[in-house]
Amino acid sequence: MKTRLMVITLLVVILTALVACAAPTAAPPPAAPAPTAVPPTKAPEPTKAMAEPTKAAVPTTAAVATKAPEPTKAAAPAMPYGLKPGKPYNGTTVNFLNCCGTATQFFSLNQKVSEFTELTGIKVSEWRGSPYAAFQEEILKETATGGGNYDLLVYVDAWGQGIQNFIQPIDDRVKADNYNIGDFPLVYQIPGKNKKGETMGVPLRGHAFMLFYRKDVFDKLGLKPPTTWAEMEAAAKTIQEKTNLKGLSVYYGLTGGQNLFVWESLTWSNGGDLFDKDWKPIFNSPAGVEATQRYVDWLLKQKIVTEGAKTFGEQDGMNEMVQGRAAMYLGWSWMYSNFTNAKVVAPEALNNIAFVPAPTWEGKGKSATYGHIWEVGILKSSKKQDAAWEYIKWLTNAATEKKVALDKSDPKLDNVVVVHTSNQLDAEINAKHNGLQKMMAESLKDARTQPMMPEWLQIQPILETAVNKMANGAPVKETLDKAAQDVTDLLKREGYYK
Amino acid sequence: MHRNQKHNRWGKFILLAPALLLIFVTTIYPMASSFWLSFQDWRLTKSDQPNGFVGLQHYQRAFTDEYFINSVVVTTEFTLLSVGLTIVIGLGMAIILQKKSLTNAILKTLLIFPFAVSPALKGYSFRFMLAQEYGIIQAIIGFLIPPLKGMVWLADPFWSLFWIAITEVWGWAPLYALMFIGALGSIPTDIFEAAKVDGATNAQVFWNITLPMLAPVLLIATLLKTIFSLKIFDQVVTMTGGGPGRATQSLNHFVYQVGFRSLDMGYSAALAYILLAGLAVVAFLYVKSLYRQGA
Repeated sequence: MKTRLMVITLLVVILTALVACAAPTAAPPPAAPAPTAVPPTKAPEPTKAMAEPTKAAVPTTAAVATKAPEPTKAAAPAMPYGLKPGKPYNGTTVNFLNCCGTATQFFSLNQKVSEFTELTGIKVSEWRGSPYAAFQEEILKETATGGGNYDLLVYVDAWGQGIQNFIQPIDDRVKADNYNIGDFPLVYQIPGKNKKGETMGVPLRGHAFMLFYRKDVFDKLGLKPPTTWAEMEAAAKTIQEKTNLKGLSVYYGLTGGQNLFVWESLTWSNGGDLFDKDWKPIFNSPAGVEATQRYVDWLLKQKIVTEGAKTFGEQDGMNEMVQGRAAMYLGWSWMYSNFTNAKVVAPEALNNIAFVPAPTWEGKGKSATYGHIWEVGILKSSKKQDAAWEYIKWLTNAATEKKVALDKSDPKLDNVVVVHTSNQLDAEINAKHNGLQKMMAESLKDARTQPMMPEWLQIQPILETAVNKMANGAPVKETLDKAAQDVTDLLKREGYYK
Repeated sequence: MHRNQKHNRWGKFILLAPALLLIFVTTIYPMASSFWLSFQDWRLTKSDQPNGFVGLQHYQRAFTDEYFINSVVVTTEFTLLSVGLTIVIGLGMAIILQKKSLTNAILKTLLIFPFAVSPALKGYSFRFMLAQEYGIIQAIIGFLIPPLKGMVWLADPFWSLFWIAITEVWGWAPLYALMFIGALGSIPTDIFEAAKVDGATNAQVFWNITLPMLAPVLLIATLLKTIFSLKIFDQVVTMTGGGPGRATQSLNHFVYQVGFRSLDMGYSAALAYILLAGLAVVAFLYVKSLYRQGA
């Protein structure tokens, strides 16, 4: 009897350990009210080209909240950043679900938060150092368990539609405070909307897709910065022939969808797209196949990319440039901070890395790249939504952003990211960063978002796996067709079409 | 007397109550809750709470889902590879290190360290060591076998799975070596001496005496390692992300992808229970073998 009891207890303990490792969804259902009726998901806005730049590049009368804080002549005590006077939330602490606290922008914002606390009496939890890769899990934990631990969060564009059920629309607050959303590029505004068209987040951290290149190598070889993919390929080949550098660095590995960035840019620049207006996949169209073949050929046929890129994420790709092994790199504008950081860049590359907009497809007009954006929003489960909104106003204010962008007192604070159009065109900021932000603004005029649909979270793994397979030699047309079929099956199951 | 007996009967339940309560809160309730969830439609992209009972739909879907089937195949291959290598290498190390000497004593002390390294760290370390341009393992292999110089190990379907298995072997084989050294020490030496007197060769002694005498320990070690191998996750994330393609996507990684990336809680719970069913079979065999040996 004793032995049997021991065996049973042992079995239970083993099962406990197994379940703890195996079951990701052990949390109880959230204590939310009645279920929200969700109509068949027909996402509202297809991700067609954002052809027109936002008109709000010139501040309007509604821009008061995002202008530099200046005391007004009015008798009433005016608050900077559009904050509420009288410290109505004094003593409140808002918990901020975030990650990547070592990113220079976030590190700098964290360091400057005391100004906000002095103005409002609101304390804010620190930016956390947890890595980007683990951040989505943090969001899932908070949302799937009914929330209550955090008041606001940051999220990247690709996740926004998937977690929109948990984010509080803020249109009333935006309107009441004359918050100037128009000062953000249109491509940054779109991921802040939910499928009803309500505003659920505002831009905080955004990037443009660019081509970085070794200016010293280009000058030495008499090469011009590439404006088309063909020019880029030719330059890469010349560099490989005449130096010991690899021509180009990109990334084909499986790292959270990063291998789609270049692929999307190529597809769009070739006149292709991911979906048609009815959400039928068209990335396997002739334009899509041609673009994908070109992307894969850089690695397998032209060999202008190191073979190790088959397993690279964007960080690995960037390291090729930082460590002086590659002459060109396709990546985000924020990386310029790394390329100018004497502590990490190889001596021969330091101060020799320049940038141009991502190339275009020869003979096909403007480039169309992915404009990547992090939004900040308020969680529905928060009981301190008013205080959280006060923080968002300060955090995303153009004046706060400008202060952060101009602070180069420490390499840890050296940040090039600005998301307000007014700041991207600001002469002082551009002077500090060699005109990077102005080029961002140019690039973002024609940029696109990833498809704004909740199911993108399920589609992304299908596509990134397909890209990775093709980089490892799988035939392009057949692999894209198979991916398109998988996506079609998925969207049928989700009720998009029969 | 009677009153004392009654008091004792309740007493044991009272004493057990905190442990039972803890097990209920940390095990029974979450298990029951997630099991119930596996029969419900709950996609966080659609709704903030479960959207209704769907019966066995998720389980049916799993067995027609090619990605799930792929992950089962990958997990099985990985388990066979990692368990086999761990046992063989662990046993080999044990035989080499079983003799008492100062060097062996120092080596035995050092053997525990690889097991103490976290699986995620093992994955990252091996990823760097295998890197095409600067990895030390890559450099050594390239030096010893020039045709393999510059090989991208983690981009090859077989070798990527092999190297993930090696990270497991690196961590577990030394621990098993210690376990086997203990087991070897418990075999009476007169059996070996008698065999030698009868003219048995070292190989014959190993196959006919050592191995059969170690069989109970080997069985338990195999079952335990099988359980851990079936759950492989960290190194898949840190080394390959499941690639190339889906060549190293284990079942646990697939469950994670469906749950944490695609936010399909119901399907993910069903997949986790299918994994659990497989693990429970092995756990049952493990407990049964422990029970037999105890008996």
